[in-house]
Amino acid sequence: MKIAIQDLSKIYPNGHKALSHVNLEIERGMFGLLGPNGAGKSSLMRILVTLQEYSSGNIKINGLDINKKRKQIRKLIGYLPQDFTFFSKLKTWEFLDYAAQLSGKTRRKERRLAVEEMLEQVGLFNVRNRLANKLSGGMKRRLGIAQTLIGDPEVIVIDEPTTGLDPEERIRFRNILSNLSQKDVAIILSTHIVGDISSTCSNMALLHKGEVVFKGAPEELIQQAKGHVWQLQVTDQEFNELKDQYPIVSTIPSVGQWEIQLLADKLEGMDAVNIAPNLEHAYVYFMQNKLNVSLNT
Amino acid sequence: MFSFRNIAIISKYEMKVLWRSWFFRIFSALIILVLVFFNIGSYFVPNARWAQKAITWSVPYGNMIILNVIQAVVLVFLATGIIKKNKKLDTNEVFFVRPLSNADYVLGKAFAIFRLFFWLNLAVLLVALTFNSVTTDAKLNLLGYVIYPLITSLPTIFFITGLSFLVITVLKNQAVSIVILLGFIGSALIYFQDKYYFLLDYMAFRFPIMQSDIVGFSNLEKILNHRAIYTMLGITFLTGTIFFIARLPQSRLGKALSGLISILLLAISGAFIFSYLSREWREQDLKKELIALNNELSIRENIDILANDITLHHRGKNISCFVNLVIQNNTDRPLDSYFLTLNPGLEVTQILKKQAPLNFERDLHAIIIKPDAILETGEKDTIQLDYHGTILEAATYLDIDSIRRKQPYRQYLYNIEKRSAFLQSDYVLLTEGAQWYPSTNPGYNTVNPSLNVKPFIQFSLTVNTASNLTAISQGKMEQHEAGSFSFQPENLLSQISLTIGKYTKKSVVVDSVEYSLYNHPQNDYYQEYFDEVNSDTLAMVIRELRQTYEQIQGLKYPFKRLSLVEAPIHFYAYSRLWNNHQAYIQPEMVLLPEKGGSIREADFKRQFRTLARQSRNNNEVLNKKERQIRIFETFIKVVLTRQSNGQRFFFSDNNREIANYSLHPNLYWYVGGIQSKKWPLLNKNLASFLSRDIARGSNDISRNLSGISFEESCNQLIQEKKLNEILSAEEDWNKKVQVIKAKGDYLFTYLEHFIGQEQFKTFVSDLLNQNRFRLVDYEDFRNELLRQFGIDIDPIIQQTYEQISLPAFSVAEVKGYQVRDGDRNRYQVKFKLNNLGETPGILKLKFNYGREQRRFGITQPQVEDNANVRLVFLEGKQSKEIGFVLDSEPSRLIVNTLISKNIPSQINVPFQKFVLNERAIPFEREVVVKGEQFENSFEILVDNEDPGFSTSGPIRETYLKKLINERSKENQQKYHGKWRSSSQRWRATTGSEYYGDFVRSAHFIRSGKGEKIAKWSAEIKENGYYDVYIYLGATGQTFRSRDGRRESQIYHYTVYHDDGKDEITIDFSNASPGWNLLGAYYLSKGNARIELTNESNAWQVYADAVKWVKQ
Repeated sequence: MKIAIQDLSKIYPNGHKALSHVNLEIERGMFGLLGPNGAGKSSLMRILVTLQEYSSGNIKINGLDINKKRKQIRKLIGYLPQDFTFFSKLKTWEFLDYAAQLSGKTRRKERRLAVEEMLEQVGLFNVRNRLANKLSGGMKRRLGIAQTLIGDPEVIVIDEPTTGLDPEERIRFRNILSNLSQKDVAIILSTHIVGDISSTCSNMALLHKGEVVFKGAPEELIQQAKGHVWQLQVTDQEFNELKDQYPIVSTIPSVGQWEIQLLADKLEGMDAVNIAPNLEHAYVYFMQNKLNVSLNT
Repeated sequence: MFSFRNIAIISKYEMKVLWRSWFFRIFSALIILVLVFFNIGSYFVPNARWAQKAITWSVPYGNMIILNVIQAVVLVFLATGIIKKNKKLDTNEVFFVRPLSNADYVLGKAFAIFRLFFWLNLAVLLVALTFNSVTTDAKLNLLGYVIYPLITSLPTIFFITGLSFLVITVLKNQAVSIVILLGFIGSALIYFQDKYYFLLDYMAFRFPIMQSDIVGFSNLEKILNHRAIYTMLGITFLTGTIFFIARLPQSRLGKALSGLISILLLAISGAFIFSYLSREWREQDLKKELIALNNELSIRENIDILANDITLHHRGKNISCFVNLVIQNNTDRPLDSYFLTLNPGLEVTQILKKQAPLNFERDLHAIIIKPDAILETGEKDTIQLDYHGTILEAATYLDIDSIRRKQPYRQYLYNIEKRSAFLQSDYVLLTEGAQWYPSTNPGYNTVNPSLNVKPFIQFSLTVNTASNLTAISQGKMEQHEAGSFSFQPENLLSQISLTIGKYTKKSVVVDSVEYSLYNHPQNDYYQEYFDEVNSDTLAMVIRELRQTYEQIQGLKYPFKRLSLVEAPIHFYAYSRLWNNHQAYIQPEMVLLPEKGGSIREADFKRQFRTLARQSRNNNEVLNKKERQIRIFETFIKVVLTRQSNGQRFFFSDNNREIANYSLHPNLYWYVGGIQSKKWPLLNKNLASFLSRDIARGSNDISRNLSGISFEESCNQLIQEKKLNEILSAEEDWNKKVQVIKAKGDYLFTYLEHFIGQEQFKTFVSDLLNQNRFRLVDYEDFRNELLRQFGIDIDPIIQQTYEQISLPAFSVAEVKGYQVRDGDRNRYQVKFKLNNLGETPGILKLKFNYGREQRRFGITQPQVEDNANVRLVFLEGKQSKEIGFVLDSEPSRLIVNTLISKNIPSQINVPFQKFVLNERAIPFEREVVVKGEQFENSFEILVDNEDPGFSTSGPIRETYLKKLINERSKENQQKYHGKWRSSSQRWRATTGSEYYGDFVRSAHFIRSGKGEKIAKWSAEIKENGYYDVYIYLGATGQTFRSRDGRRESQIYHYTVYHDDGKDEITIDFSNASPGWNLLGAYYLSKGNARIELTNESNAWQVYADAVKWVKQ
C-alpha cells in the first residue's frame, strides 16, 4: 500500500491557493495530517478521496493515477467526512448494509455477517434496529467509521475524527483506529487536535498555508523541541510579563500562583524546570520558531 | 456507464428513505383521501351527472388526472430533496466516494421515486377500482386502469422528476428550485392550459385523452406523440442531471457520454415536439389553402348534380367508391369546365363519361373537369368517378375560427378530442361535411361567408363492409348479405350520411314511419328502464308525440323513418353561420352522443328518481308503466322535439357551444327552404323564426355580471355596424349568431305585423308544402309575397340587415283595472308606448298570467304562445295609446323591444291587483297620440341618467387596487353588473325595475357608514309646496341582511327645503315598487336638492330617480 503525492497544488477558482507543491509518501499504518484550520488539510483529503480535482501535480495510489482510475481508486477508499452526523431515515443496520452493498458486497449472506461483525466491532449491535438519525453523537461517529470500514478499504481517510466527542468516545474511537492499523491499510487522519496523532500515528505531516512544512515521525518533531520547554511557578504579575515574551503552552492556576509551561531557548533567572516535550509542545515550538507563527494571542 | 446492480441498490434504499418520510406519507394519505371523496362525489352519489359516468373509461381517467396534478406537486418536493447537495451534511460525500458512476447515482435516485410512485399509483387505482366495482352506472373497464396511468402518470412522473433533478442540480438551491417548479406547474394549469395545442399541458390535465367505448381513443397517435414528448424530456433531463451533477465522474468517457446522450435525447424530444406541432400547423395551412381555393371556386359558374349513385367499399381505414352522377348545367351559359369537390384525402383515379375517361385536374379538394364537349345550358350528362383513400378531417369546418376550434370539448373533467369524421376498420361516421361524396358546393369561403346552398339530389347508396358491421344511412335499407347494404331514399335530399359500426337496432313502425334506435351492443343500458313499454304502447306514445309536435311547429315530418344513432363521444359538430343546426341532425336521423353522454335525460335511473319525487310532491300515483311512458316522453320532448327544457336551469354567459338535437331541421331545413345568393341568411332567419323550439332553459346572467344583457350588448353592436360588417369582423361568434337571429326575427315580425300573423304563417307553410324537397328561389318567394300581399320584401330585408339607427321605446302610464264588458268582468290594461328614436320599429307585447315561477331570484321564462303575442308598430317619434281587454287577470306586461336602443331590451311591468272601475268602458285599440307632451311644468323629475344627478364619496384605494382598477376594463364601461362590482363607488346598473325612458338604470353602491352620497338637484321655477317622491325599483323582496337575519332595509334620504333639511328613512323592503312619497315641502325658486347616503343594513343601496310635484 503506497500513496505517492507529487508536487500537488490546488488553486480554487477564486484564486485561493489551498495546496502548494505538496510532496508526500504515505505507506501502511496511521498517518497524521496536522495543521491549523485553513492549512489545506481538508482540500488534500477531499482530493485523495476523489471528491475534488487538483490543479496540478500527481497522486498515485498503489501506482494507480487517482485522476484516471477513479473507479478502481474508489474501490480502495473509505472516507469519513468531518461532520458526518446526518443520517436519513434508515435503521443502523440498513445504513451499514446500504454502504456494504455499494462497496461491492453483493452476496447476501456474507454481507449480513460482515454487517453484524462490524456492528459488534463498533459497539452498535444493540442499537442495530434503531433509526440512525436517532443515535447519540458518539454512536453516529462510530456508525460513520463503520460505514467507512465495511467495504474493507485499503486507504481510509478520516477528517477531524474526534471533534465534538466526549473523552470516553474519543478514546474508544482511537482504539478502533489503532486496531485497524494492524492491517495492511493506510489510514490518513486529518486533525488539528494534536493528541489524536500522538497517540496513534507512526508518521505525520504538518501542513501550513498549503505547504508541507514537516514530514516524518512524530518523535522527530518532538526531538526538535527538546530542551525548549520550561515549567515554572509564577505570580500574576510575572505571568503577565512572561506572556508577552514567550509562547505559553500550558497554564494551570494554583493558589495565588500559576503553573505554566512555556517555550524558550533559554530561560535565565527563573526557577524553571526543563521538561520533556510532547507532540503538542513540539507542534507549537515548530510553528513558533520555524514558521514564526505566533500562537499566543 | 451504469450498473443495474448499483441502480437497484440505490433505488431500494432511497425508496425506503422516501417512504419513511412524513412528507410523503402525509401527502399520500391526503391524495388517497381526496380521491376517495372525488370518487364518492363523482361516481357514487346518486345525483352524479350522467356525463360523469356514462362512458366506462371515465373512472380511471378521472382518478388519474386528479392524482396527476397532486402528485406533480409532491414530486417536486421529493425529487429536489433527494438529489440536493447540502454542503453542511456530508452524507452525499460518503456515497460519492463509493465506486459507482454518476449515472448509477442519479438513476438510482430517480428509480427510487419511480418505484415509490408506482405503489402510490397502484393504491389510487385500487381505490378507484373499488368504487368502480361498487357503482353500477359506470361499468368496470379494466383496460382503463392500465392505459390511463401509462398516458397520464408515467410521462408526468418522468418529466417532473427529471426536471426537478436538473433544476436543482443547476441552481443548487432547493427553495428557489421548488418555487420555480411549482410556478411552472401552476402556470401549466392556470395559464398555458390549452395554449399551443396543449403542448405545455404536461400533466395531461386538459389534453383530450377521453376514450370512447365505440371507437377507442380515435386520436391515439396524437396522444402518444404528446406523451412521448414528456417521457423523453424527463429522460433527457435525467441524463442532463448526470452530466451536470457536482461529483467527479467515474471516468471522463462516462461524462462525455452523458453529455452526448443528453444532446441526442434533447434532439429526439425536439423532434417529437416538432412532429406534434407540425401536425397542427399542417392542418392550419391546409385550411387556409382550402379557403383560398374556395374563394376562387365560389365565383365560378358550375353544374348542378341531379342524382348521385354511390357504391362504397369500406376496408380498414380506407374507402373506395364508385359514383355515378347525373349532372345538369342550370346556369345561363354553356360550361366548358366544371368542378366537383371531394375530401382531399380521397384520391380520384378516373372520371368516365360513357366508358371514356375525362380530363380532370385535382387541386386539394377540387376536381376540375374539362369535358370533351361543352355542356350547354340545360344540358344533362352522366359521369362516373372512381376514388379511394381516407378522410382528412382538417378539410372540415373551414368556417370555424381558431378560437372556437380551440375551445375545449369537456364533459366534467374529461377532455375529449373533437372529431368530425371517423374512418377506421371497425367504425365509420361520415357526414356531408367530410366531403366523402362529390358535391358541387365549394364550401366555406370569405367572399360570401354565409352562403352555403345545398340543392336537393336523388341519392342512392350501396355499402360493402366487414360482415360483422352494420351500415346506417338515409332511405330504404336492404341488406343483401352480411356486410352488404343498399339505401334508396324516397325523396330528394340535400345531403346523406353514412355510419358503419357494430350496432344493434330496435325499431317500431308507426303510421308507416319506421322509428329506430341504433346503439352499440354494450350500451343498451336503457332497456331495463322500459320493460313495461311494449311496441303497441310505444306506437301510441310516438303517434301522440308526433301529432303534438307537428301541431306546435305548424310543419309536417315528411320522412319515412327516424333513426336515432349512437355516435362516439368524440363526434363533435359546430354551429354554422348559415344554418341553425349542427351535424348531429341529419335527414331522418339524429346522431346522439355515446350512451347519452351529455344528455341529462339519458340518465334514466335519475329520471325515475326525480319523477318519483315529483309524483310524491304532487300526490300523483303512477304505475310502473305510466312512469316509464312519462320518462320516455320527457326524453323525446326535451331532447328531440324541444317542447320542454326539462326543468333545466343553468346560468349562462353565452360562451359555450351547446349540442342541439332538435328535430326541427327535419321539418324545415332538410325539406326545403329559400335559396338566395343575395340574402344567404334569409333561409336561416326563416328557419329560426318558424321554429317553436323552446330555447334551452338558460338564464342570461350577463346583466348581473356586466350591467347589460347579452342581447343588449348585441343591440349596441348593431348600432355600430351593418350585418355584413359584423359577420366579417372579428367579433365574438355568439354575438354574430345573436345579431343574425335578432335581425331575422325582426324582419319576419315586421312582415307578420303588416301581413297578419295567421296569413303569414299560412303563406309560408303553403309555400313549403308546394316545394317539398327542393329550394324555392328567393325571387319566386319575393314575387309571391308581392303578388299576394303587395309587399316587396327586398327593401325591407335591406333595411333590416343594414340599418344601424334604432328605435328607442318607452312604456308609460301603465294602468290595469277591471271593466264591465256586457255581463262579465274583464281586465283592462292601458298604457302609452313612445318611440323616442327617429327610426320606426316594432315591439312585441305579451302578458304573463298566474303565479310566476321564480328560481334563484330570477323569473322563469313562460312558454311563448303566439296567440298571446301582440305586435305594435311605431314610427319614429310616435306615441300610441294601447288598450287591451283580457279575459283573465295578467300578472305582468312584457314589452319585448326586439332590436332597439332599449336597455333592458325587454321591459317587465308587474301589475298590482286589478280593481273594478265601474264607470270605465272597455278600450281595446291602438291610438296614435298626437303632440305628446313629455314636458310637465308641475313636475320636475331627475333620473340618475340626468345631469342633475351626481354622486360623491371618498374612496380609499390601496395602490395595488388602484393599479388593478385602472387596468381593468370595468372603468371604461358605463354599466356594471350587480354581482361583479360590490362597488366602493356609485356605479350604474340596468334593469326593468328601475326608472328611465328607454334606458332603465339606477346607481348602486355597497352599503356603508353614510359617507358616500348620491345627489339629485333641480332648478325650482316657482315658489310653493311640492310633493317629493323617490322611485324605488325591486322592492318588497326580502333580502337577508349582512348578519343573516331577515329584516327591513332602511334607506336614508335627506330632503333640502326652505326651512332647512329633513332626514327621512324609508324601509325599502316594505315600500311598493315605483314612486314613493317622502313628504310635502315648501320650496322657493332656486336650487332644490335630495340626497341618499350609502348608510343601510342592506347589502347595497340603489339610487334611481326623484321628482318634485307642485301641489
